[in-house]
Amino acid sequence: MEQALPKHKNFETEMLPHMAALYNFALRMTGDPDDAKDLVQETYMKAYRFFDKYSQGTNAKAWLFRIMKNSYINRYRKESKEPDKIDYDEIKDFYATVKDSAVDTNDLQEKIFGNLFEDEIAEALQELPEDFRTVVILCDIEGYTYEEIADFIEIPIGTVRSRLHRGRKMLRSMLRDYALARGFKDVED
Amino acid sequence: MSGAVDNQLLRDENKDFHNHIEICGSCRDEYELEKLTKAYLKKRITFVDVPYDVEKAIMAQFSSKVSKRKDHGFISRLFSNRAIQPILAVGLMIFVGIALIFANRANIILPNLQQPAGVGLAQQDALSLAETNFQDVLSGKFKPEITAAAMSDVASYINQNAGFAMQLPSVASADWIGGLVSNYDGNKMAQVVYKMGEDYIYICSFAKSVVVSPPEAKVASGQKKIFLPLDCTKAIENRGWFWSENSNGDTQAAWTSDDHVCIATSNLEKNDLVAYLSPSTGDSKETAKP
Repeated sequence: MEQALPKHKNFETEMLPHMAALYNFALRMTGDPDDAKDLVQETYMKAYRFFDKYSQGTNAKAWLFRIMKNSYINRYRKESKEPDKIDYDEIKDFYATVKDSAVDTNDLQEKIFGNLFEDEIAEALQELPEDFRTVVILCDIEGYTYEEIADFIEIPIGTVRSRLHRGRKMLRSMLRDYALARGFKDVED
Repeated sequence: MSGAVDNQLLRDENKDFHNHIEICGSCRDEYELEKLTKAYLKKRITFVDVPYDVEKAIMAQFSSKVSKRKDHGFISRLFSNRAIQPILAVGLMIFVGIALIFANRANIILPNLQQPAGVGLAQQDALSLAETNFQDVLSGKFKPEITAAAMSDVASYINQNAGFAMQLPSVASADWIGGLVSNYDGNKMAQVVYKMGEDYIYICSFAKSVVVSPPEAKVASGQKKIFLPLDCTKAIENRGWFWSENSNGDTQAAWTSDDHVCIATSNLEKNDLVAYLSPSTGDSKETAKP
């Protein structure tokens, strides 16, 4: 009983402050609030169980992300491969035609992607293969550095960089498709 | 390319990259488009606060792990040792057999709720304790020391024996109201039962000084024996009261006053229970003052 208290206190101090970051990551990875809740709960359950293996004072957030990533893989990993039909050039051609007429960045964004709803963007994110989605979420939404991402998911920084480039490239084409499907083709005409 | 978009290139790399895109339209467009995608995503995806129920579930899970953890002492390790389990089982059977023979000879009557469930534990979750006792109410094991039709009689009894003025609803439609003050590991526990046909409301109350919320409950071993789960404490702090439907399908509510904590348990639906507990229904709350 005496041993439980320091563990409890340390766990509370080191791990619980990262709940919001984990929940947001889980939400973007799964695209579903209930799944995100389950994933966060499972992560904390495992973290508590294996807290003895955590070296205190090291990167708690990275440790939690790794647990969550493994839990996610065990629960949700499907055969994920790059979508078959992506026209990477279409959007680039379109960009070349509209970039000069755009007033500012916001205008340009709207011309290309339209005013998509947040859940449409989240849906497009969901279509990204998991490896690419992970780095895009961590970098572009959560705002982590390459070093942090490399630490979280245990891949070299060069891989983070290349996955980001390909992930964003795929995503922008998907967003563009969503925008076109919602009638933003008019903008192009 | 991404390194440039994310400002993660070294100074020389960055300079080389920008020199290149000065003369390469294709790379420049690619770079601009990638920056645009990143900015769009950042702008349109909002950071979500952790919903209260998620936080609550994790804290509850965490609290239960902590309370389980405290049992991992010598005794629990002994009982979980597979090699010793058969020996312990045989020993237990012999002990129970002897105890039963002895009890029959001495004509011992097993104690009822005068000694509430959970006595002897280092800590007791007040909600679980209330539910255990409520089951005794339903099964008829609960033996109140006073039974009356009027709340004031029960209130006087509680006040004289519990040492705190318990706020109780005065339910005019009750068939009877029962009261019992028992000693719970050196702490007074006031209990009141309302019977309305097939429905019951059981309210137990402790002085605030003996009820704590985890993790303090762990620190206070030997002194503070009863705790409120963290979600319950949080709800009381935020809303003034807590309610939940437990795994038996019973409704539980908890609230605090200046000097004591009350937990109500009932087979009524939440809204009906709230109506009985609320002063606005005509069944007004009455302070158990002499």
